[in-house]
Amino acid sequence: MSYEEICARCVEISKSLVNTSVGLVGMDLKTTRKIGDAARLAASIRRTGEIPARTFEAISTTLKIPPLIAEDSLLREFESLGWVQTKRIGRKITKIEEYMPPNTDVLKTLGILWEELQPTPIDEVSIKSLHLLSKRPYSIEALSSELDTELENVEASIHYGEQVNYLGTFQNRDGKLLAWTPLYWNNNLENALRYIDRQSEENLNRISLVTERIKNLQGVPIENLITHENRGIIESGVYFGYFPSVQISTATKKFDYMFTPRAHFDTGMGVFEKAELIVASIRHGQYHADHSRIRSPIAILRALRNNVLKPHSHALTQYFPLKTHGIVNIHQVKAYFGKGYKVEWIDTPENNYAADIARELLSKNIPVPASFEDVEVRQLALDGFFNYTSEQRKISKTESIMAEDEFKRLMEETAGITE
Amino acid sequence: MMEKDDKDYKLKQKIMRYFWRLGYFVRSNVKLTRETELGKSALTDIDVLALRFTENFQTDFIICDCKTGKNVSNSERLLWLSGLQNYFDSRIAYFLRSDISAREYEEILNKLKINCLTVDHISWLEEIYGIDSEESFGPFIDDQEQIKIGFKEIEKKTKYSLDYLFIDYWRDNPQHQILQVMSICILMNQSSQIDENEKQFVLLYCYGLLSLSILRFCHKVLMLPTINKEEYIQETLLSGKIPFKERVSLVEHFYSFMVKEIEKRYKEKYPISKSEFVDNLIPDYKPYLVDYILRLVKYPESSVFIPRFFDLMFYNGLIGEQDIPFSRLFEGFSKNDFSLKPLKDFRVFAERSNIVSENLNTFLIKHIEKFETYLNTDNNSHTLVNL
Repeated sequence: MSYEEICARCVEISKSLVNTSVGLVGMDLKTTRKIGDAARLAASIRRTGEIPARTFEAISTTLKIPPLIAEDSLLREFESLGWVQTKRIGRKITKIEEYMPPNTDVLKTLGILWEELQPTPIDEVSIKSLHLLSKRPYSIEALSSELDTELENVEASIHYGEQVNYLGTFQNRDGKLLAWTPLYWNNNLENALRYIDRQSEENLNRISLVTERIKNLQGVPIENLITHENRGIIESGVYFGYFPSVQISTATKKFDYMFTPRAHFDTGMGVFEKAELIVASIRHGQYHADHSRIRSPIAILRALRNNVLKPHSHALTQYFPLKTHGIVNIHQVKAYFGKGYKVEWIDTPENNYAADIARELLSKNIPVPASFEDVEVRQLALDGFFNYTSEQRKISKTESIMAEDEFKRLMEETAGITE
Repeated sequence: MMEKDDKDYKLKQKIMRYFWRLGYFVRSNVKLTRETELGKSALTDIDVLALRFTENFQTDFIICDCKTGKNVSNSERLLWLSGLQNYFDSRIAYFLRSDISAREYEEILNKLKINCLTVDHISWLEEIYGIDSEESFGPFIDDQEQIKIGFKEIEKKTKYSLDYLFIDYWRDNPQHQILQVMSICILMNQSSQIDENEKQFVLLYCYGLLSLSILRFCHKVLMLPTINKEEYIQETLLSGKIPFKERVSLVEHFYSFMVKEIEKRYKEKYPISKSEFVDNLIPDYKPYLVDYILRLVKYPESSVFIPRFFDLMFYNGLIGEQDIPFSRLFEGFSKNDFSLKPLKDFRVFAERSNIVSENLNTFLIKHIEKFETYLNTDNNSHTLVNL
């Protein structure tokens, strides 16, 4: 398990623990939570330059990291790493100068820090379990053996995980108790469970191998993965939604592009799902284009965002999933070859963030687990405003905001509007 | 570099001081070369080269030709100067002579858009701009002999030529300048042949040129839409003299050739994948340099003084072992408030890219703090701002 993966798992667990007080989580998962919160905070304030203290407090509050913890614990770590410099009057912080390194360095360094902070056995087992279970379920005993730890540590970790749904257990049709991670399938729990419920140990190993292969090329066409031995498990995995996939249909054929399962924090279409749609459309051009195949996926992504993709006859098919989900518009145009379609990027913070994640996936980097909430925090930290769509979404999610004045003040502070 | 036995030494010092007052980064005795089949060939010498940034990173070059005593080939020299003006796309050139009658050459001067100056005229300019002509700091300090000796010693020990910093640098585009100067910095910082003081010496000199090249590069980046900036920096920076895509294609072809050769000849598989092989093209410092440039373009007005800061650090702080004359840094800038964030970002970038030694890092931190204190005091005309 790489340090980047350790940090990404910490983020997933810390996001799951937001607004919860589960048992002795403050003690048993202290290190994991700290690193996960640190990674989320680092991603939010990166390249903001200089942040007034109040704005920093507002950002951490919006991320649901208590400002006291952000200031006393996380800022101190950032300072020791040379990532921030705090300016104080006496003991009070007045300003934070930010010097965050690139994301890959942030993930790696925080992953190393997690290790150096001597995580508790529960920390270790939780992170490693989540990592293993993201590829395939295991029995509790097998997990204990894989992780080379006491059974009671596994049971305690699963107990915590079950409270907030990042770990769980189920009984398969053979009556065996298996551990798995609902977090990765929480928008499709029932079907995912039905899929893994019916798998033999041999098939579970195959599932793990398939997941590893997809990790090396996100958005890989399904036919590139299928072998005689694994055809059944891949096709049914896609059918049950265990393997996230995007389907692009032409008049004569359907093409499936596969992704590794990942944590879901948004309801419905999340920012990662949008990224997967973008990657799948580009892979379609890379592997299945009728005329000229895409050679540089990242160049195509850039052209897509800049609205400089030339019109072509296949664009409606290739980018239809993006149109359906409000990522692009497609217009029919007259081209020299006849009827063509011009693709137009819809410039919203969510789409742009999804495109940034798509770029990381195409570049084989590990993106920081994120949700639409993080888009909004980033928007506030960098641009200092809520955009219309995010305000609308907030309004549609809640029936009413109880502490309206406080909420308004929070938004103003985050936007840097000081008294 | 200035040399005391240069008969035009005093003249060059005066005009450099004047250009500094106007906000320019200055260099003297710049050699231009050209590549031939037989290697490098000298093209010409420029007595004084000055450049300044507008607040959107656009570069304004000045070329100056300085001669003491009578010189009968002024007309030819004016035409040569005009050619250099074109070469650097410079808005204006100066023809400085200790003894010349401008009226004699009025027609050609007007046609070529060259300003003619005499020593008396410079003295008058010094008076109206309040320039103390005896004041010696920055790249026109009096004693530069030890600097020349210092570089020669380092070259001898490391067996690495530093000619690029004084000769080829000015011929290249900013991308290539950045790549070359970074290579020199990394090599020098990692060298076990030179001691800590020598590292400090050569690295601090390089920072002036490196920051200059980065700022020149920033002009195009500033003009791009935000979503394009990062890609543009990544691809253009790595291109140098060969466009990045061509470079990748070349390496990929070479990789395919190598894999086949090894397979046929030794019946073995080459253990490195194509993407790993191509990734070697990309220097380790790339993500930090990209990050630094993306930060820099957010603060153009507070960035443009950075090359001169490093010049003062090198010539006054290190060579002269004096206090840095911070008040001189802002001469020629109309803006009164600055942020030190771009300068601090440079130090962090240097640390992450492994182009700063431990002692030099301490030296930089100390002087940036002094600079910050200076800006925070009431009795100076410039102030530190929060961005």
